[in-house]
Amino acid sequence: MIGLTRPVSWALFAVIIAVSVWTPLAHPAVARRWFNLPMLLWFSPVPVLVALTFWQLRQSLHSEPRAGPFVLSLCLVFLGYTGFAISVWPNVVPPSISIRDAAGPPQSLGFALVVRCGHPMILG
Amino acid sequence: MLAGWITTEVGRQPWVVYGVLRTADAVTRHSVAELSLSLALFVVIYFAVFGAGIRYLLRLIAAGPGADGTTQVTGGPGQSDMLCGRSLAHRILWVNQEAPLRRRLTNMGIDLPLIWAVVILFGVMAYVMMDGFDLGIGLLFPFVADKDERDVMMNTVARSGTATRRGWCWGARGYWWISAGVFGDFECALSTYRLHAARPYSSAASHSSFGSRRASSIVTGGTRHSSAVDRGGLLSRGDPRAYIDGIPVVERGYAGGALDWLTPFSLFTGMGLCVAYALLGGTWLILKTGAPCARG
Repeated sequence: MIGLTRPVSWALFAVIIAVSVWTPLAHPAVARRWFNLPMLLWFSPVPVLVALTFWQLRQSLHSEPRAGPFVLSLCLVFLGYTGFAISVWPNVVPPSISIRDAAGPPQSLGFALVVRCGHPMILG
Repeated sequence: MLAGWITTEVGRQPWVVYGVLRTADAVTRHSVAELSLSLALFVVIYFAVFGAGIRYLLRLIAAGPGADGTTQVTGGPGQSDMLCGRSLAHRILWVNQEAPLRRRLTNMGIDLPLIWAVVILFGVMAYVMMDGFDLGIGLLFPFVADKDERDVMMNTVARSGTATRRGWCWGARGYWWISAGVFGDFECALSTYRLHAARPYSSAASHSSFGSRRASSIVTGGTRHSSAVDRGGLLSRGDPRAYIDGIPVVERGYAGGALDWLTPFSLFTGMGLCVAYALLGGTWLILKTGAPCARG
């Protein structure tokens, strides 16, 4: 399985780079969000962490791995997801509807939040 | 919707998986007492939940529009004229109904839309992660020729002994899915929510669990996005990230075509997600089978 996972990890790295280049090129709003100066400083840890995680993943695939690669893959997915979230935030329907525009009345939000907290008890 | 559901379930009897598994054979080996208890609990909880929902609905309907004060408050739906522009009547209606509670919540310093956005983002991420590795195992199947090895792959996510690890996984995943289903609270985002992942039961989850919520939006006048919900069903065949491309919205309704999601970018990100799933699947198998057997 390690033999199969190695090329897949390279493929994911290539995809991450491609999407990172493609997204700001295709979406000027995202480019503005990413490359404005204060924002750039806040977001810069993301690509650095992706590179570090990927390097660690490569390392772990060369030894006798157990949980390492899986945890690192989850980290990569998480980092990719953060990149996605900071690109669209605070819009829930890009490019126009923000979470606040889309939110239901506070009565319902509060009610549902209480119900949501009760979910684990019902489903567990 | 419920009638159709009942028709399929009843019509399939005595099979639970048609032609493969009989309902009688699919029953878990629980005692009569255990089964009765869980059934009773379901009945009690469902009556409590839906009873509360229906009571809430009736109260909203009885109150009617414009029951109390006319204070104008800022923020929230109906306030953003440019994008989710509701008519003046809708806005006054909404403000009138919600103002007292809204003020109370603001005074408490609770930003409910923000809390919900974070809850939903987290729920979708948890779902992607939990769904990812077993879908990834499926994606890796064509690259593994050996049948025994495939069996091992399948068994890593299957029932093992008495402990149902897979059962745990399914349950947890369903939990996150339902919590993401609460996207219904961002009412005009329902169509977007469909974009996040295509699952036939997503509509069932959001509509049945939060039917009361939908109905209350009818009372407050926010029904125009129903077309967006319908189109969202078509859109959902797209990939989860299609929506970063942007979704044209006019008057809270989806204003694009049914095939708008089909862009090179969204196809590429969809493929990218498959690669991520495959990596999760592969590394999961390394974790489960251990290094010595994992060489291959």
